[in-house]
Amino acid sequence: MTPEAPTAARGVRSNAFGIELVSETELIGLPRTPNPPGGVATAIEVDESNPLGDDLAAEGEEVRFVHDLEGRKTLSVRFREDRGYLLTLPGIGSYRVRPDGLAVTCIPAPGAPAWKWQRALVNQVLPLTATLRGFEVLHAGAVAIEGHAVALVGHPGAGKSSTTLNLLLGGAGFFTDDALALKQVDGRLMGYPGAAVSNFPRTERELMEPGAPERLGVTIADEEEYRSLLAVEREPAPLPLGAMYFLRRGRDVAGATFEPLEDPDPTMLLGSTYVLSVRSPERLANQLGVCAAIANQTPVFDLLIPNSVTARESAGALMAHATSMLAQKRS
Amino acid sequence: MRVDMTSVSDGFPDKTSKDSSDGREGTVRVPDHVVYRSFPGETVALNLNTGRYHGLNPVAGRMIEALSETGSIEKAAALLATEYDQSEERIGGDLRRLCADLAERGLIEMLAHRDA
Repeated sequence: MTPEAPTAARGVRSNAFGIELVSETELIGLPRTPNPPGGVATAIEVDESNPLGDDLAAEGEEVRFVHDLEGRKTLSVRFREDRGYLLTLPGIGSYRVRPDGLAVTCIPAPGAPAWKWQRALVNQVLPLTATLRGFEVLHAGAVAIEGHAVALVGHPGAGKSSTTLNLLLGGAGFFTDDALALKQVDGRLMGYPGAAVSNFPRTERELMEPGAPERLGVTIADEEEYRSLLAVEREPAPLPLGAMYFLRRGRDVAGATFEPLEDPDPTMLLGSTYVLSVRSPERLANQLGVCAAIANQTPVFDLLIPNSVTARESAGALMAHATSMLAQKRS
Repeated sequence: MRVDMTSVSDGFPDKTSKDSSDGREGTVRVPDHVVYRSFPGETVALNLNTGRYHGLNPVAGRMIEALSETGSIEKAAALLATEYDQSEERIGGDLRRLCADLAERGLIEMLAHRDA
């Protein structure tokens, strides 16, 4: 069966991860673009009348899945060459993505709150869609400092989200929460803003001074014990990738310490990419090319943070380090 | 000069291709399904048919560049002999060993010289 052509040719124009988008209504994290450029947009449609049937779930090969600690599947990605990708997040929704990334159909799970299935759209589905449209997406948060995108990479628990939030409070611009789209343009590696939302750890909120969370953005939803979803103002345009920091916790160092990686390991960079389920030859070649461009063009650092250093302190050190380096680059 | 090639990331099981030449003489080409990208410390070859990555040390990476530029072991040996201040014979031996290894992994194609 041939995928249907996009039908939402008119509607709300927005963008994220480098791709132009058009949807019937405004969606969370995808504010209306004031003066949308021309070009081909990915159409986002919502099909609330069609709860996922068994036939849909069973189609294609499962190319990726994620389990929680209790063994329940929390994400499944299936692929069929002629129909594209089907992402399923139980209790949240399913999403069809055309093989060329030009159409996304959202099928919210019965009873799923709008913010939940729309958050999955921007966190999971659009990064995959951007990959299909020729971008490479890193598993990284990013802020804007001195006219550059500064990427933060780290394993869960390394302090990526809390460091990012403290960078924003310290004056950096919000660029993306957890997925950074990159593309080589005229030999230069450019970063593209993600969705205008941040998944804000609740633990961090409790550590902040009164009023600080409100300075970051507007709370859209609170997820009981874990995190809040904030609508934030993001940088409006692509920026050159200025630096990349790998955050590491618990090392025996006196304070936040920066170690330049002159010779970044290709496997480390390949392992920092976000989308694992697209393995077409075009994507694999682009993924390797972007990782090589990072290694050859971008200053990469290990940021070692001892457990005694707070996120606020490590963010302050990172801000000073990046500002100094990028200000020199600009001048 | 040490030439070293290791698999840097396991993708899918590699299908090694059978090389019809003995690797001693001939022209060399990088097939369309293979891309090479230089990193500061190594060159990574990716076989797009298998999704498998292979790492080459800087010397082997430069050898691949020279082979791609010149298209033949002999010409690449002449070029590299000047760069590394070594005899063509010695460089040629290293190149032939590297080519045999790469060809076995499906990362280059070797076509033996034919007598007219």
